[in-house]
Amino acid sequence: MNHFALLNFPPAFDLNMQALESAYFAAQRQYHPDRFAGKPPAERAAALERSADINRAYEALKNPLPRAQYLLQLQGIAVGTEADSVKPSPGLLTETMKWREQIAEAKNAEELDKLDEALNKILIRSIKIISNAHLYTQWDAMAQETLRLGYILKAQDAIKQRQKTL
Amino acid sequence: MNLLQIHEPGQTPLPHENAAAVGIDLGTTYSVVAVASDTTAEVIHNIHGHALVPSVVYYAPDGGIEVGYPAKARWERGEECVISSVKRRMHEANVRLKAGNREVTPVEVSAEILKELKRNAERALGREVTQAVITVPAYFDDAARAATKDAARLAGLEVLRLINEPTAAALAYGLDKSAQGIYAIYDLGGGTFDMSLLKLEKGIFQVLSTAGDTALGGDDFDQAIAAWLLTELGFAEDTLKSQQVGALVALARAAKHELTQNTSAVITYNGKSASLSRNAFDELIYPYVEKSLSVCQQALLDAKLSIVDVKGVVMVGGSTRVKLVYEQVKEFFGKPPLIDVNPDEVVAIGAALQAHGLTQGSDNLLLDVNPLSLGLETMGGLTEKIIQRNTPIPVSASQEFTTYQDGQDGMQIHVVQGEREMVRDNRSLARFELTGIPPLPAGIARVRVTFTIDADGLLTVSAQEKTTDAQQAIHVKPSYGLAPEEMEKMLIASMENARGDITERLLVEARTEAERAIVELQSAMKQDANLLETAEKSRIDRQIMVLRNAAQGTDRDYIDAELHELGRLAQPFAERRMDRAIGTALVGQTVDKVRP
Repeated sequence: MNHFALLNFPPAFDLNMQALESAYFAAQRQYHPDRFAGKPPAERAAALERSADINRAYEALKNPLPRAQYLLQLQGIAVGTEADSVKPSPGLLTETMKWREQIAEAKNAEELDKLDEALNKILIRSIKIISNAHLYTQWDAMAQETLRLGYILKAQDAIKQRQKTL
Repeated sequence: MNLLQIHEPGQTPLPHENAAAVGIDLGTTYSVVAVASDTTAEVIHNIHGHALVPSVVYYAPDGGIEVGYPAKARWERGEECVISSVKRRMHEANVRLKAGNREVTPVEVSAEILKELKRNAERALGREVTQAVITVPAYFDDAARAATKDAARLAGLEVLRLINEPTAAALAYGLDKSAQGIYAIYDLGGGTFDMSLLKLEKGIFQVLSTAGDTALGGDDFDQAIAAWLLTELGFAEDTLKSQQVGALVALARAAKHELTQNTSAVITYNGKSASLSRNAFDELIYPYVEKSLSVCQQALLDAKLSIVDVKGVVMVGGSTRVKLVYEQVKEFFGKPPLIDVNPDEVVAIGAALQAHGLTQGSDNLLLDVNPLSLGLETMGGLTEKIIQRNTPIPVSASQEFTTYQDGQDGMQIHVVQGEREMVRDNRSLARFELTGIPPLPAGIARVRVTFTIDADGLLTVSAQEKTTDAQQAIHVKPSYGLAPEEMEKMLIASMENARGDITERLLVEARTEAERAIVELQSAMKQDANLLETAEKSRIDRQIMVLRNAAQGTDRDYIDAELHELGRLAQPFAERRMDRAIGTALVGQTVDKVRP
């Protein structure tokens, strides 16, 4: 079953997170196994499966990257999997290399913090670009930017790792 | 006229109209039973007026069994045939504990404690008690949860639900009715510390994260006072007999209790006296309290929250009565913690409220997370994580695995629990074998393994070979397990060793990759021997040996370099094979034409 259908929520990239959470809670209220205590085993098993699916749907939709990946998957486009149907553009590769170099060459925590801040701004813009691309069903642009969002988040992880070693 | 009611098999038609459902806090040192009605919730006292039943069981040589204070008294006199703190061993389903000439399992011992609580409740309520909500620590693993359920069954109790202790504490404060937002549950007992973050919204309880220290508690405070006392009175510890140490610790505990009310306590031992001010006491125990606060910090990090997000703090466990604990927790979170419900009884009361809700209908919903990551062993002893720690449950997740060798028809599946990269550093939950995989070339067969964790935190694993749909489902009943202390250590070790783990993982991957390449290449060389020149074959064979040697060592770059060299040497052979394969498929065309 579609993640959005499981949560009874209209499919979109821009989501009101509070509304999404409320929808998640409402779905769990209906299907959580506790609601089926004393019911026949078949019904309990179905509830367990449904409740687990609802959890998975919520986990996939509550963060921008998996949400964008899922919306693309619904269009038959794989991003961020082993069998990606999208390749990074040369520009994106250059940009990513630049981030990697800057992280590796940063001399202190302050420089890393600055990099992280800069990436945060890029991140916010990236999410905006994905949102627009989704709105206008520009799937190629959305796929490319989703790939980029993944790289931004990885770079931020790398900063965290580096900060631990300083 | 309705003579007989017929129900679907397995359907519980709310039996025993008169029977009560209780809440039970099955604790390490004490256990408590409580019952709730529409208007109240209260703990049940035994005939001696005690609400707390020591979790101690005495097995008399004549076959009789005593539970609670009488057994505890025997324990303190150093008698044999007494078992205490069995909760710490609940994960070891098959271990035999010695009680005199008898051998009992942790499940049996726990069942005796539960029977005692059931008897007390039935005596107090004047009716049968058949159903219970039982609390478990949030970090209890699959084995310990399953064992707790087994113990209840043995005691004649149907478990309506296992709930986490912190969740029960929040329920006891009625936070389900009034509160919205994130609450911290600070649970400092005698020997263990647990910290959980719950999110409450309109009757939904969501455990966001749990963290803890299974070797931190009020006992540490007693030890600290006792050590201080020794120096103060001028005794050397090594001159004391163990009995004297016991007496000193008892005096220390009494002083600790006095200091929850007064600003100083006088301790007299062997004719000598010393006065302990609360300030001096605070200084003694400060490091332990600090330690608990760093665990709180960890739980916040895990949940990606900061202190300002926490709307309230609930105090659980007798040690939270210590003033410094209260003050420090208040300062850390920037707000006074809730402590009006007796911290020894608060968990049982919450469980009773939940039992009442589940039998009488309630709008509450408890959403939990799983405490440790679950995974499978893959080649080279690596752990492939399938369900991350702190994922909401119920949950199911699948992973596909493929065969390693041509014609391989079986596969060992090893289920593990823990955070580390290497299987041997994690805990083994179960092993099972999947057979009947159709003989296919390496990498073609696809085996899908699905993990399901139910709402009580119990795990089921199933595996399916996708080309044949052969399915095997097993209930994971682990034969051995991990003490909470070990689990604690594993969590800490996983953070400390994260870097070492990655290096080791890369090494193992390099070795596995090398072995895979060798196996594949040798199989191809056998198949298409006529495509190989003798000199070429001996060069490749030599390089295989070099690579095998490299893989024995620990230099990953060296292995990679030799693997690369092998690939270079075998390249012409591989191209000839491909040409021939394509040639067979497309007779009459050259490779150039079919390539795009």
